[in-house]
Amino acid sequence: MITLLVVISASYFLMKIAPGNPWEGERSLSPQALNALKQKYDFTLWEYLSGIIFSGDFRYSYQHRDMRVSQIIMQTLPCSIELGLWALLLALFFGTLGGTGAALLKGSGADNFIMVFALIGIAIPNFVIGPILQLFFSLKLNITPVAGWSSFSSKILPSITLSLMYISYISRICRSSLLETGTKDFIRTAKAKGLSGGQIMRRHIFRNSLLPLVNFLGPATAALITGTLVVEKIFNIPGMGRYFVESALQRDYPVALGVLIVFSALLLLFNLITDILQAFIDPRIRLV
Amino acid sequence: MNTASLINKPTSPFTTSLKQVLSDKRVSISLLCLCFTVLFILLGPFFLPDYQLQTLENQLQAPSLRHLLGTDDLGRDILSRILKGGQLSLAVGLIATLVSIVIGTFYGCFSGLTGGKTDLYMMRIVDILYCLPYMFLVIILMTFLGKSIYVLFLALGLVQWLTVARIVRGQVLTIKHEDFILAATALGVTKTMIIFRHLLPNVAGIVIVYATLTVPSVILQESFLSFLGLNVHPCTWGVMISEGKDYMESAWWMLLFPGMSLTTCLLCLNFLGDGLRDSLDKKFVTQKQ
Repeated sequence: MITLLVVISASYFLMKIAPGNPWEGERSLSPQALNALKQKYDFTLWEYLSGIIFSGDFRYSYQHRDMRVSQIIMQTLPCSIELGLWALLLALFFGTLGGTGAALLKGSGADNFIMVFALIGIAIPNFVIGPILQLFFSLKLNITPVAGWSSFSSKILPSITLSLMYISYISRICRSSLLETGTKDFIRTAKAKGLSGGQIMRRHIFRNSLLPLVNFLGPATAALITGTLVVEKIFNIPGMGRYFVESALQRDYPVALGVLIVFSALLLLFNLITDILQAFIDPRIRLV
Repeated sequence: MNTASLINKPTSPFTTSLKQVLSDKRVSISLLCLCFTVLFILLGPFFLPDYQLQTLENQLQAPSLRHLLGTDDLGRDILSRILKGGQLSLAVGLIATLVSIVIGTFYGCFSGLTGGKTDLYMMRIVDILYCLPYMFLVIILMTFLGKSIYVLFLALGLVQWLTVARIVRGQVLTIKHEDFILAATALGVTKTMIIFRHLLPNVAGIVIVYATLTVPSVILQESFLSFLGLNVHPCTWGVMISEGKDYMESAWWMLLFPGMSLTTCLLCLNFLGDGLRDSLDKKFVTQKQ
């Protein structure tokens, strides 16, 4: 909460010291026009803060003269969130699948293959893999649309591009965590009790290996949000990330800072969820 | 048999750790690759056409003997441009890392050594900054202050120092109560001198390892920004990838080669950092035993 207040206030001051504003043009304006413009674009920190907190109002955009920033955000946010969720789901599914497979088949060829794949997946930036995927699947093979965000098939490539890095991270985390839990004493006890392999896996290993995965969710969300910036640009998706870059380049500060504030809020929310999940999974954290 | 050869020569700690590090296959291979790359990046431009040279009759030529990696939409040699981009990326990576390491180390040392309320507040500031979506901040900083290379150093350095500060502070907290610090304090050594003479040498190892891991992430962020159009120079890898994306249907080499060089560079640097970290971990484990 304090963080959010700091972000909002910092944004306000950045907007104030930013060079150029709507009422200082080459032409001198009549007093009435000046007043009208000032009323629309000039406001105090308190007005800005209370506007955002109590009514979700981020004032007007400089570029799109009659649009409120909140309107722009409401139009673009659903796209970004959908993209992020798809990517997160893909990453969780394939990441845990790959990680579990690698841990179960430790030392085999499949394990090596998955780990090499994961290493490469981490090293290739998403703005390199995105165009390459586009080139192969859209331009050469004609399976999916090149860009856009409407039909289901147009959502496949962006989600894969965004999730590839997290698939790699999650499968690495998952593998090492499963292997580490496998060496604990209580697993030996469970084996000595005569439990079957599947039972040990389900009841003892999986539950205790969840924590590192949950810990990763916080930073992963942050990086996913950053990733939407480029993925939305590559695939021409009308999301908030693309709007952010455009408005920052055009010096449309109310929009850029509004998006910054919304993303910070999302990030804080996910950090909170991560903390709660941690306490839920591992009771030892609750005691501290 | 010569008796002298039976007596082990005392080896310096530096050579032992160097041997230990180089025994890791990943580290030695990526170190070799990196040395080769750096040499190539520095010496290559002397043998190749100028990276700015535009010859319009050579537009979009496929890789050939004359232009090893082909030419772009303005007839510029891709290989020369990649080398120029490599110089920029490496320079940005090294300098921004240096900036962040210096800020983070002193912040962490001071915070850890002082302790108490000051430490609490200083670390709380770090926590708050940690929660920000920093890439957005960098973008906003760059649009505010202009697209100069100094702003880039500053912006990237300013976001990278947070982790360094945390790591260094943790390290300082563990060695703060050692006897030699106590002795120094008892002798009346000032805090600045303690930081310089006693703390810095002791945190150097972990800081160096972290620095090697910071360089690739800074390079990645720099290319990320260039890709989005916030480039500090018209010839960075991010810009080339972004241009290559527009021409990928007719000229795949414009996209593939810059992308490959960026990826290989990141892979090598990451390997190096991971290897160094592992060997440092090993050292701590053996020390404890």
